[in-house]
Amino acid sequence: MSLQQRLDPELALVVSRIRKRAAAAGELRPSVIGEFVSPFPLEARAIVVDWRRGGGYKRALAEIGSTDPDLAVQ
Amino acid sequence: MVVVDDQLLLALLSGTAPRVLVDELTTGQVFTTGSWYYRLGRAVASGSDSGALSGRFSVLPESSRRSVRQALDDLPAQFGLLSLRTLVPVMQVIRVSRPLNFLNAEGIAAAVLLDARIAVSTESALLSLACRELHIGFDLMDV
Repeated sequence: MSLQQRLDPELALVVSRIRKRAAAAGELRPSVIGEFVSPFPLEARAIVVDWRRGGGYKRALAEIGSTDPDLAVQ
Repeated sequence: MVVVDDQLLLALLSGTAPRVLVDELTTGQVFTTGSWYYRLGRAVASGSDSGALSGRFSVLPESSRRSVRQALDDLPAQFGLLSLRTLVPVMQVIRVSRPLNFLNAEGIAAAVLLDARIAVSTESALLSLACRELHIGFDLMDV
């Protein structure tokens, strides 16, 4: 059973209407399909991994969420 | 199809994501949302100069910094991103047992419209609950 069949009728109706519009506008697929090659050089990748493992992302999210509830982890 | 959060988006952009997501990206199956994309930009810049990810990039040569900046500033076209014109009508009629903030309502609406699962890297009790109530697949991925 598709997701749409399991949605409540009001939501399913809106989804059906908006999906048609989005499909016609080409929004339901990325504009380019194919391999993505990261432009991050190896040193930059190591910095990202180190920052993440050191809790940098977690701290950043806590900082953002404390001042902006609409971007907070709920 | 999968809608990824900000940290998974960073992992994909930086070439440090799990193989399964890379494969989905290659086949045009990865979307994110405006809020997660925006929060990624905020997260990269947040913290003191030494603690911020953007500050740590300062040790890189200028050409490398430019490549990194460009990938973060201009979301590559391989990533899908739905407009608010498309998402807001769906966000307005989502009914779940606990109120969602904008970030999570946008993620849920994108998943519903795309018939996609949501993949996040940070535990989010309300988002997980909303996914269960709306029968949306929910993956908590370690990066």
